[in-house]
Amino acid sequence: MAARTSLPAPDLAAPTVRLRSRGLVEAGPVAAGAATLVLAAAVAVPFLPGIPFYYLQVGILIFWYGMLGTGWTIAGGYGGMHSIGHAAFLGTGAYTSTLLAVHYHLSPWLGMLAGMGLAAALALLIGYPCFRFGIRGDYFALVTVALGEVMYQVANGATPLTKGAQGLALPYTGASALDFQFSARSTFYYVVMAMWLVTLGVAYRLRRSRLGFQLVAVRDDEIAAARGGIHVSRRKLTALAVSAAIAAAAGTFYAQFILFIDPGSVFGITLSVQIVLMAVLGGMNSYLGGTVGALLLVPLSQYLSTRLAGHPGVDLVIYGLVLVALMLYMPYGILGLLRRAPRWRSVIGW
Amino acid sequence: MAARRAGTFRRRFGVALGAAALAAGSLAGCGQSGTGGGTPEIRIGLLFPTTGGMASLGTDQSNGVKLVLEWANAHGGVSGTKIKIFEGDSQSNPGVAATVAQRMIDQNQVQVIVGSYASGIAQAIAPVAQRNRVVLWEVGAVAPTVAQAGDRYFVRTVGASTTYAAADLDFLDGFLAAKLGKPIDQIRVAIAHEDGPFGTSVGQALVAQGKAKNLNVVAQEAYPETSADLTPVVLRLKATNPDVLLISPLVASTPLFWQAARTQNFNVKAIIGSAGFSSSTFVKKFGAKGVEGVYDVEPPAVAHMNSANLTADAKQLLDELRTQFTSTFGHDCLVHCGDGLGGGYILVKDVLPRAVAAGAVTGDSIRAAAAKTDIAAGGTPQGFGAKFSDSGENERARSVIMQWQNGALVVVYPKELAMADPVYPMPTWDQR
Amino acid sequence: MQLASAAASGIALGAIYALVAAGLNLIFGVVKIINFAQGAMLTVALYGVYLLDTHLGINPYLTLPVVVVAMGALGYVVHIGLIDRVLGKERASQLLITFGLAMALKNACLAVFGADHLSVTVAFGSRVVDLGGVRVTVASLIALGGAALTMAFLYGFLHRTRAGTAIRAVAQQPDSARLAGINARQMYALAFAIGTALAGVAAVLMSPIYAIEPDIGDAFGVMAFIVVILGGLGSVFGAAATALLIGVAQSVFATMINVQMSTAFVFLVFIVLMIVRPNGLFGRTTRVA
Repeated sequence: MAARTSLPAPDLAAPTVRLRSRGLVEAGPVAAGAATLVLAAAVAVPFLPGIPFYYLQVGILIFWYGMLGTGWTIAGGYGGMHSIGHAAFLGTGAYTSTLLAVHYHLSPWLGMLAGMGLAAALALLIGYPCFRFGIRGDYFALVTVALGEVMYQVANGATPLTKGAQGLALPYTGASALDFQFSARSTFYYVVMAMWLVTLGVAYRLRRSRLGFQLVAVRDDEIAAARGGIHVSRRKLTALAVSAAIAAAAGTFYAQFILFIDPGSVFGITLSVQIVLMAVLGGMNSYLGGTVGALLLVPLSQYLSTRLAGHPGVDLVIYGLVLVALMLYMPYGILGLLRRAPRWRSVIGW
Repeated sequence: MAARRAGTFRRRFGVALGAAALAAGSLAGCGQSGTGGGTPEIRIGLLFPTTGGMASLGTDQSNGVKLVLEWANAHGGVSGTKIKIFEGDSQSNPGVAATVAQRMIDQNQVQVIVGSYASGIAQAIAPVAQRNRVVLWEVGAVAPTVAQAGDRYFVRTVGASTTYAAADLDFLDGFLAAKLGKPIDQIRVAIAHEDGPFGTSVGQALVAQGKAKNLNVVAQEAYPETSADLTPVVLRLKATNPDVLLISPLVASTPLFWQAARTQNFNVKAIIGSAGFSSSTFVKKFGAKGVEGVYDVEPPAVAHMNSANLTADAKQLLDELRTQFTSTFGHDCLVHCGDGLGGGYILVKDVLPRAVAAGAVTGDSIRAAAAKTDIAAGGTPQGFGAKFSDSGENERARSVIMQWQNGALVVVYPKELAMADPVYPMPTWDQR
Repeated sequence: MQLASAAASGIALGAIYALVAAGLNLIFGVVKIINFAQGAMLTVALYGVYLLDTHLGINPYLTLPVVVVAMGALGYVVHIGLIDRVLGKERASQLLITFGLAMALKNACLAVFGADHLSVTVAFGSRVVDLGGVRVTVASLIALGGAALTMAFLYGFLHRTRAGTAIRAVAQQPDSARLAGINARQMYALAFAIGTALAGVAAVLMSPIYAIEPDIGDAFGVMAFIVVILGGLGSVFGAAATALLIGVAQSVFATMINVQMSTAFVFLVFIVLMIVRPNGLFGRTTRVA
């Protein structure tokens, strides 16, 4: 049903070596060493004497968007499910943990798990009919736009539960790690870094697992994959649920860090698109894409808004134009530039 | 072929690397520029929504504050110390606001952040300011609880939503009841408000304070500010046949509401609006005749406030700056701009001089200086005085009743700030 | 009477939704691209109406030809300059190009015109017509009539003209259309230009009703997406009928039951319908693509 007439043309020029890759190890000792160094440097940053928290906050944003972009990649990059509604999952996470904390004094850590579960359930709820009826590609993307908007409207309209557009302020209850609150704010940096690392690990392992290969097969040719014995909709549902749960966890982090959420800031469509942006600009088929995208875009937007402060809107005009230019000249993202180099291709897991 | 491809690759990758390097380098660069230290100037951050959904009134408020700070610099600064202004844009988004606040504190070493127009945004900035021991000098947000309990670094110059409700009830009691020929508990009052922090808090304050006066609330309607049509709200309100409508919308929904009211021929004896009803957009859209007689409750729209009863300093600043605002920005300095002028005035004329005298200007010295503020009524450009409670609220802040008369929003109640007498009743739609 | 008034205002609102959605739908149906810039195009067109009205004193309704031609040209340029270069490549990057463009356009409007909510007024537009107790403004009636005419023209163009037939052919079978000698790239550009011009039509008809501000396109843009999805992608009349249904359902629910929940309610109902009827409410029987 609804067979697409113009599925993206398979990348014929690309080499087909894919299986049996050893991943990062293949990058060679120099690259692996460099990666380790970068990580070590990231860990050491908060120890730099006199470092302003703003730099850590930029770091937090990079890890946060990196985590979201990587999580998106699991569904969007591996599985070809281009969701433009990931804010629906993120907001579900933020609201679940926050409401549980405000009303039942449940630790946001547990709330985060609950939010992840709910978001995964939401993903299954929306994914099941879609995949069953063969809604894929752009049609699926549009359905997720609708999902994001529905969740936004529900959060906005269900005032007795969510306080609607007024938003929810989280009480700062002192500094208890159990409450997901820390007296040293650099702890937030490490927390989100850990969340990003876990996400990266999940994405990396998943890409190399049986599920990962099946997903890529489904993405590249769904009909052939089904003929080959892959349970298409089940694989897609799994990937979407994992991706949704990661977004939900990021939502809880946001709520705990900013201490205020409202439907506009956690369910907005702009946020959904920002998530896609990180993954696609970095290179959405790679587990590293979201991170690379965040590394470029977060500093860029901070730089522009700092330099052009006092000229409202101008920074956003330039940011928008830069996006256009980058996507125009690198439609497969930054890492996509490496996709034709056989050695790098398996390193980045394209 | 392969060579060409490799060349393309190299070029494109080079572009990407270049962009990344530029971004990284610039961040590092910014750090150096900020660490002057010991500069003989007071660094003030203005953090308002100047893009996004709240930009219209947020920009007005930011400009109001900016005019006062520039005026202070032109008049010798604060006790001889110049003010350095840093502007930031919260993009109408709380998360962005929190990041920009942190940036202003770390990179620009601001000693006070003046913000933030909206309660939701203030709630995201306040924890950042508190943790950095920098004062959030709030001139716009009106929800009753913005800062965390015990936040010592929050000071609010403008009255919370409770002052809106108080002014409404005073006016009902002191003026409208007599005109309607009914005691206040028999006036049929309808309440409508946008469902964000602003409208909701005003609505809740009205209901709470109205209980004490046995206010007869016949309808209470909350609606999303982003509604594309407000006919349903008008139809629901009309069905309850109110004498008086108290409505708190923002800028986007006001013209839609007013148009729907006209279309549905929804007439009340008096309507007291807020926010959107006091914006210059409102009168531009419907013309002087279209808005004649509409009341508005808020801190005063300073452009048409009687400045004769103000102290000399406040009067001089107000008279000068409201003219300057109109000529610079092409519309009058109304309520939100006035909040900026008033809040900025208290900061630069009263609080900062005391902080400078005490030695270093820090969040703590500013807060301590604010605790000593004691300005009597008439001592600020908004007409009310200033005295800050322990939780940083201006206990002397108040709202007034204004009315659109011949295309100008003039203060009509209370008497001491009034430019004109309130006109009653409001013309019906057939008479407009 | 309350119900009738609510339904009438819902129809008027639905007409506006239909107008905004029409261009998005055409572009999606033919070029197969999710165009996030459609809302921003609406914003740009509204500022165009404002400029012509305030600086040249042209009645907002009479700006129609200028605005439509200018928007069509803008759409053509955007397609040739940006979209055409990435067609057939990564689809996610296509939609991000339109997102970046939207961001640049609407903030450029803010940087140029400021954040103030501007307005244009048409004296007769705000006059009220009383249809047996149901009251509507002339501007709403004009928007409704304009929407109906626009849909009829669009349908006529797609089904009764050579260019329209070529566009449909390209939309349905790009490869066969190429074999038949149709210049597919030109047809894509034409469809994109017409889709953008439709944003111009929507802007002209909306201008007397809504305030003109940089964010105006966002809310309508999102609603247009919903309409397009639920209306059966690519169907001219399906989308229009869905827009009217959404408008009426929203308005009646808001008036009779609850204002705050009205949009959420409508969307929830439609999500359920989507699950039951994944091809959209009206199937794809009359679809463009």
